[in-house]
Amino acid sequence: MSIGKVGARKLMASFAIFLIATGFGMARYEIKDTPPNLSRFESTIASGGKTELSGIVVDEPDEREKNTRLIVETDNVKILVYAQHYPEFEYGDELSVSGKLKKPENFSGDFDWAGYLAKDDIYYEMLYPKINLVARGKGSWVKRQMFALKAKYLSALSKVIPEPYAAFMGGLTVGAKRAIGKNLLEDFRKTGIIHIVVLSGYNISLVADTVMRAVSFLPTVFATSLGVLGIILFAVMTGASATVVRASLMSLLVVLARTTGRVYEITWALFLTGFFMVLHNPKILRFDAGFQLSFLATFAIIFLAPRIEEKLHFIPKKFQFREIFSATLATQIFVLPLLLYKMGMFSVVSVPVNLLVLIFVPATMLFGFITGAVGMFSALLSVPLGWISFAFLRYELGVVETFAKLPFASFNVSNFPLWLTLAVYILYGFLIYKLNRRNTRKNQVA
Amino acid sequence: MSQKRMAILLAGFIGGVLLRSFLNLGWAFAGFFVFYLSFR
Repeated sequence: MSIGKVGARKLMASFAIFLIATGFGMARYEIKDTPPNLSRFESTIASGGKTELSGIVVDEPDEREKNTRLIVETDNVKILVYAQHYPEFEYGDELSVSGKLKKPENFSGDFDWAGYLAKDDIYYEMLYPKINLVARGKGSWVKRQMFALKAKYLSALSKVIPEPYAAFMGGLTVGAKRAIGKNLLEDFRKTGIIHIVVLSGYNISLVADTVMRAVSFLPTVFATSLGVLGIILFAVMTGASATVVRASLMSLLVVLARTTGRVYEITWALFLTGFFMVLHNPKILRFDAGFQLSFLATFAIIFLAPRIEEKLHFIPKKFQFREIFSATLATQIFVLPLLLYKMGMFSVVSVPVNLLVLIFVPATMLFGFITGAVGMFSALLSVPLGWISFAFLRYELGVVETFAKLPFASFNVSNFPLWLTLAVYILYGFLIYKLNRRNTRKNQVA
Repeated sequence: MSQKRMAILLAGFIGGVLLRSFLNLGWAFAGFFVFYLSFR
């Protein structure tokens, strides 16, 4: 057989694999997109929507400034219920809800609210219905314990740290969905550092790393088991958003690679993690901005940051300054098109703000955890620790507020088109491929 | 399986999911078919 024929055969085989995989991808999405039997709910809506139903709160209540959002599951269908702040409900409560059922509507042209909710199998909403508590303690026992631990930790924090610093610390350490306040959140957005209060992959990897270090003195089998368990429980406690799951899975792969003596190839870890997450819920690929941003940011840190770092000889290596600078710059460059498309805001000051804040994030988180943990047993003992935490938080919020006040801190870019976003990413992909190939060649020559 | 094949497999799967997320099944298959014909 001639070489040409072999080449053509190989190409055809690759193409066949690609097409089969595409078919599988389409089929997986189709299965996810087929909702359960909704006829009962549809007929309710057709006859005006008034209904009474009972269901279980299947996720942590999301406290916002104006209301608390509860996800109530009944007959395998999830309903988003907007409730008053009081009475308070919690994960695992069985509720009897009576009010008007409606379908989610897209309130602005830019954001597909209905699609976003459907990603988590939420197909209906209820605005301020009458809610009665029927029973407590349903749902998963592990989740209930972890949420209770989180609540205890947060209340210990707020005993010794004033607001909004305590809420900020809650967001930073356990991604607590507590209201930080609209103005402050806007400042975080303007300065391009909102990712730290919604628990980014960076925070999770710090926690995972610390957990592993803390158990490293034990024999390998125990250390690995405890480390893996710790990382999983932490992810559950924070609510396991797509960002958290991605970062936790990657950290778990690091742990497993270390234990089994295999090489941890971060590229494959990233892609396989992404693949399994999309396999589990294909809708996150299109509708979960957190997943998309987190994936792109990690991609940038792996492929772009090292190339930038090579060029930054003038920046000192002390306190990982050069590493943080190149990672920040790479991430910002890489997530910018998606941010412009999704949020329509461009933050001019995000690189300096990220630099000034991120350097202190590990220490802040460490003191936050210690303050909360000690505070759960004795508020008095946690007071001095609270002061140290407060000093860090005060500095970080100071940086955010100062930069947000600058008149040119950010500007709005409305209607950044999808085609341009995709075009920029194709260009990025090409450039990164070129940069990394050149680097591999250089290394081979060296 | 070689790394290249694995990459192709991943790309195909992600491509399929994305395609179907923007189009309904009928149109997605039409797009899929046009793509296939263009490469044949």
